[in-house]
Amino acid sequence: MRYLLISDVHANFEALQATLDVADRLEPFQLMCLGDIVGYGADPSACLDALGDRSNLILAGNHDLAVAGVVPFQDFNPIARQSIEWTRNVLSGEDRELLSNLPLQYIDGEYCFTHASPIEPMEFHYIRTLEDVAEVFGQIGQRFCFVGHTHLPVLVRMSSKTGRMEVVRDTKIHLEDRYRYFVNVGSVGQPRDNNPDACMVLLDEDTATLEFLRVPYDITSSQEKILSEGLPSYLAERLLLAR
Amino acid sequence: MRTLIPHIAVVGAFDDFSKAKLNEVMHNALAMSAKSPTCVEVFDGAQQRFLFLRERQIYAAGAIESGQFGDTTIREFLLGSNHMNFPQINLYEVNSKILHSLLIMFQKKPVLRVLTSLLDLDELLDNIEAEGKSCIVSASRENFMAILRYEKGKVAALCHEASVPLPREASFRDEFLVRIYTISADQPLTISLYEDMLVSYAADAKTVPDSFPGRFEELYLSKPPMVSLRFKGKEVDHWVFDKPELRIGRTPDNDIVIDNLAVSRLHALLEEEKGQYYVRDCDSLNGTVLNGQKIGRARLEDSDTISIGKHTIVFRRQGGQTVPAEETIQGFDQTMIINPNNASSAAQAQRLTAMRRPPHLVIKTEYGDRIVEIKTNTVTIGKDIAADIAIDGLFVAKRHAEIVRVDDRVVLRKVGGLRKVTVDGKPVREVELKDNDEIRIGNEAFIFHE
Repeated sequence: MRYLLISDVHANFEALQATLDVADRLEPFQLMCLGDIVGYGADPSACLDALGDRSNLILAGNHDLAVAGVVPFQDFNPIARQSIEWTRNVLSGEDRELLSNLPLQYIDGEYCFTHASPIEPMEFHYIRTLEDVAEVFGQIGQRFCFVGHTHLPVLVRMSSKTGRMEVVRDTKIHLEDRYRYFVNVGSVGQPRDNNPDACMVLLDEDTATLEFLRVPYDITSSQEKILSEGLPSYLAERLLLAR
Repeated sequence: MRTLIPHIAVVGAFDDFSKAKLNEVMHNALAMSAKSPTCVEVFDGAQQRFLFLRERQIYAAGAIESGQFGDTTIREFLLGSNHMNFPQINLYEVNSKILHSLLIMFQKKPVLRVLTSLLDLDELLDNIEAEGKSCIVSASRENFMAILRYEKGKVAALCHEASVPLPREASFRDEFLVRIYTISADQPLTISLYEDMLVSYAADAKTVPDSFPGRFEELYLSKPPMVSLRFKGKEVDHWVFDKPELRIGRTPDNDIVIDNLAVSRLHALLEEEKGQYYVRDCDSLNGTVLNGQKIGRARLEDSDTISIGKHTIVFRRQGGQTVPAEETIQGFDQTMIINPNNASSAAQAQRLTAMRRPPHLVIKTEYGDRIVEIKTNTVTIGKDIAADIAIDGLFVAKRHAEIVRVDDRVVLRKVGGLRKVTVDGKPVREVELKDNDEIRIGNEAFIFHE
């Protein structure tokens, strides 16, 4: 079985389309989307449609729930708030209903999927240090933990025996039984790791490999749409800055 | 791209960043700084943050992002480090010349910045020597940086990743050129020339005594100020001043809404800038009055009173332990070239430790006992990095409990989170504390003393 993991599409249809085009060549796989389909970008509805057709799993992100009105958006920064309000207005009631019903967490055998930290998933805690990862592994039983949320791809492995953890900086690795893995799959629609290309992760159980894939896309079109919808221009700028 | 800063030696390199780890490295850096200046670097794929220490002073900080150097406060260093993505920590030994040269790069704008080849560089150095300038010339590109330092037209030092007191080639200038040549046969470098050599310490620089047991976060990330809105002598509402500005006005889009016709739609702003707080009148019709004087913009001190119409706003700076920088580091040579015999601040160190003890909590830490005094302000306990007593753990809320003084009593209140707060083993919601009470939240314990 192969899994293609994506997260944080953020209504960037060009990035999503390019990602899915590349994905076509990788079939067969299960498409797992770890949340934040909407917010920031100009194409929430098209992204929802595309993912609804293709995904085997869609989890709720904090932006999705804020747009759906499930969580208050006062805690968001002003720019995010503006885009959430805009998104709320352009989505149909049906789409918002769909967002409000997305699950927060999905557990399948040795895999645990959430948008942010699996600890208190509704709180959307960030995982930014090995200490945070240790806390997660202490709380969940699964060998693999997949998340999004920070827009920063990360791979951490922890020795099951000694508990020693390390950040693995390779883009493709061979998975070994003696490790547990924490994977942040990065962001499709708004990468922030200085690389503007859409990011996704391919997990192949048959070859026991995990790979980060980067897909260039037509950033200019995404930027133009954001600007023409009157969304904050910073949201267009940061696509290229990848910050 | 990461900029490798000049140093004498890498003393430690750690990829298991945590707040506790950073604190431990800072303690080491501080201890080492008694002998020679040290630098702590925290970096991830996107940014690098630096903390410079000398003579047991937490002295200055800087950041490099997208190749841009900028100086920061020490508070920003700590806050920023805690928001990086799986960062690594390096601890370097540096020397006074490296420290000074780096601070110039963090604090000053270059008079010249060009992409250049060796040929042009030779001409530039000839000019500096002919004109007898004092300046530094930095050459950098990916994973490389070297700084050639001139004092009155004479080469005084070469700083790079393995700086030594004497040149390995015929001269520092030759060594500089050889270093550059070997790494950059094909690619040009960025050359920057800095002529303004006057650097200073961070606004929140501090001398820290040997005996300081605790977490540096507590010295620097003390609670944000509180702002209280009063009308006819009574508090109407209050706010935590934890963002860059608070807007005061009549309309509901303001942070502090005063619904009164004497108040303009946007009347005034409270602003934070580098750890200082200001009030600014926004061309309001009836003006903004600070401590009885009409102002345009003015700096705020603890307990200042701002009058807007019939309402008053009281500014309360919290976390009284922090000593203002100008008090902490006295007799510092602003031009810095460091005086190694500056028996800096025994008096200041005492000021940090030897305080008369009001009611307080004693917290056992691996560095010794930590004392948190309960003065007039609320002492907050929680996961929030800015809490007076920052504690971690599952089900601990950002603001979990607080301790307040009510007249001459000291009261503990649980304000959030799922974890129980116990006093001498009994769960409590609100209780008056008595001498020797043991407060527990999860694994954390504090003893209260009157």
